[in-house]
Amino acid sequence: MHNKVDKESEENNETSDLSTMWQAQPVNEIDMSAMKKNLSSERKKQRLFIIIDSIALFPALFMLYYFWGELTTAAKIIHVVMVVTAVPLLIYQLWLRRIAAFYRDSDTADHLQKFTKQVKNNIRIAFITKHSAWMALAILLAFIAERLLFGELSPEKITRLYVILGPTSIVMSVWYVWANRRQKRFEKQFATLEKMARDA
Amino acid sequence: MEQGFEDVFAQYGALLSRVANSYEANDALQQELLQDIAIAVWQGLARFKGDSSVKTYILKIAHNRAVTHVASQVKRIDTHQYDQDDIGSDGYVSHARSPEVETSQHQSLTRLLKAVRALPVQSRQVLTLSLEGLSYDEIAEVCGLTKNHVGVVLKRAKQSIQQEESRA
Repeated sequence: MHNKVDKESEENNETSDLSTMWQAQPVNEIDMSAMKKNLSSERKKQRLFIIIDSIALFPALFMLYYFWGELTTAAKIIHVVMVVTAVPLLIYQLWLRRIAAFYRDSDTADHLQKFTKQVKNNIRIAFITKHSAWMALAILLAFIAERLLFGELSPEKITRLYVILGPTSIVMSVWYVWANRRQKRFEKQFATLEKMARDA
Repeated sequence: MEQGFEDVFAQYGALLSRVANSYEANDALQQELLQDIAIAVWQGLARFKGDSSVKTYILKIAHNRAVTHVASQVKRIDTHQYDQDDIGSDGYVSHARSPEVETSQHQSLTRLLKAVRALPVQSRQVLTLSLEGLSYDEIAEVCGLTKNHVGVVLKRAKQSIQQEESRA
């Protein structure tokens, strides 16, 4: 009996010593001004993402609305297919973002589960973004081909089409590489989180 | 939220820094994580409804942010490899003591931090929350575990720390 009490007392003392040592460690100070600045820029970034997501379809819708009468049947089909594909894709992306958007403070086990799900969704978003880059270029090429074949274009207009194609190809290639890197990064994060869950 | 944000940081800033220290060994990354935690706490405090103590609430946010941070570090250098040898002499051992005692305590703290950072995330979280004086119920609430599970994890974590200590 005495031995048990002694052991408990010894354990309590050890915990208390450990706790004292732990709480006496050197600490850093929170930089309040940097924090306020970060918070503000983070909010701006998130708002910008939402705006970009929401207005991404506007150019195609604008083209459809204003130039519908001037488009050939093939061009109309290309545009309609593009909008019909893009709308559900946009809705799906917004759906995937819901966890981050409606996050509430939860315990760590729940947080880890939700965060893992969000990272999984981020992998999907990056995958969609990556493939939307080459698909957008393919659609543009199809559109240009249609114009060249059926558009009866003047040399000036043909040059303009090539001028559009050049920068678009560069932008889409950069977009593809960027999205591919994001996808790889999220895949690594996902593996880390799975390891964390296994170790727990 | 009756207590102002800045008062909360003044009161719990050191606590939040210790959370950052338990996940990061490198000074710069510790500071970066601390800032991230502070932002998350700032945002979280606006939603605080008083269901628990402020301390438990912000520790929950801090650990969640730290877990996210650990997962986000995959692209960067494995921060556990840093393992500072020099913790710094500004915070620990503030009372006048002999250099031998100071050195010994400094080494003990270095070993403790190394051992804590080597623990799996869940054990690390349970142990550090216990060292911050949280009850089993509060730890269970922060971690999303049962009280019994907290006891088991804590016991294992302490054993692991003691083994590291005895090896030194």
